Amino acid sequence: MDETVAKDVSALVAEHYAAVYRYAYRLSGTAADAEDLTQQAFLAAQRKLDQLRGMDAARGWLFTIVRNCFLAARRQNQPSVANGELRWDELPEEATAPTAIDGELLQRALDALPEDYRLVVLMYYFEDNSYREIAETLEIPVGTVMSRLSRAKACLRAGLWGPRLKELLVTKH
Amino acid sequence: MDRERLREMIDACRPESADLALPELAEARAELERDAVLRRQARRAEQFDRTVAAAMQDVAVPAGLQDRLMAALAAGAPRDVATPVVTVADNGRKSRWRIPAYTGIVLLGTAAVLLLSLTMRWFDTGDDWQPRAIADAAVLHFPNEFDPREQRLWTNAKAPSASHPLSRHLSQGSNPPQCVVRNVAGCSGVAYLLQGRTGALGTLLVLTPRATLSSFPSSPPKSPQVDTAGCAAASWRENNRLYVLVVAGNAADYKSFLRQPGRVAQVESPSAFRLATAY
Repeated sequence: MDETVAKDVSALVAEHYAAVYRYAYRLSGTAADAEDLTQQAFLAAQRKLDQLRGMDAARGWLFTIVRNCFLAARRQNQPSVANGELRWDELPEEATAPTAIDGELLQRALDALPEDYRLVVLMYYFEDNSYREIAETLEIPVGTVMSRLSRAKACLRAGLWGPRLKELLVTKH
Repeated sequence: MDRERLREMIDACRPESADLALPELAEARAELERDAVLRRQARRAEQFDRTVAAAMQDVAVPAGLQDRLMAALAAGAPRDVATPVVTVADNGRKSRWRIPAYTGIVLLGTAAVLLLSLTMRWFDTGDDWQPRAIADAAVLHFPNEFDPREQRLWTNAKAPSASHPLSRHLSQGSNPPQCVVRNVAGCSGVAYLLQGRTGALGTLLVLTPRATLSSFPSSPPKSPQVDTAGCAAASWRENNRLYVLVVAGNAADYKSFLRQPGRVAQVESPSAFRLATAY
């Protein structure tokens, strides 16, 4: 893609709007908020286009703007993390992980996470960032990232894998 | 090694990545090589991670989103949001003419946006951006909410929109049906389906304003600004948003939506959604 054209915000929208919307949806949890976040992000990107150094960085840059927009309007009521955890060393030996997860069920599990945990989880699963990259971006210690990631994953397993395990137990008895 | 710490380390590694090869994870790597049970558990967790990563992308993108974004960018609605500075190593040698040429493009673009903003502002401060005019526009838009073709747009979301919240001045359920609305008097936002104490149905539009809201009252007026053609409506400002209530009925029906001191907020009737089809 020609770089002059690529700098144009229209090209950014065309190439990244779907990914930005999906990210915003996973972060905010509703279609209306996701669309609002997406619009805010591209308006901010339009104003700060000179800060983008290279199209290779565009996707991550836009995701960062979405995160900033989301955090700027963050909700007052934070869910607590005490809604069940399932550590992988607690899984029964014969249990296999689900091979497909319903998108809505996943969203409910994400919504139940505190925002700090949800951010880390999205950066890990959605952006495929390493724990080092997450720590650098969020400016938090690596140990904190590992701890949040591990607890967040345990919560997701409890929400997404837990019901299946219960079914298995019921079937067995 | 502490099992909790070990689990955190392994959990931090991405499936099919070289993360585990990092020097700081040497202990975790050694433990995995030594312990077959741990390896099996980690493999199952990894399989789960792959499934979650795939499900993350399973989000339907609304039709027409790209066009709406382009329209919003052309209008250049102002919002102040912190943006990051991305520094990516640039290995290519750049011409010294590049900076002046880029600056020229930016200046031209800025001038165009400024001209567009001034034009928009000139229109925005006209007669069409007054409480009564907005209420009129909402009344005209009102039948669209109940067009059978639009019915599918009403959804029972898990919560009201955080960016377009319900009004604290109205008696309403905690989470009424909602849908995204676009181009009501040039604004977009969220509509909520409500039912007043008289049983009348109404739509509360919570819109992102396209201009300053200084001419709007800070709460819903006690009487509607528009009372015509079987509809009563009023607009006001709240939470930096433009609120418009359109009610099917007369002024008394409109008043039945306003919160009264000492009264318990009416819980949204599940029948409201069904009633809408016959409305």
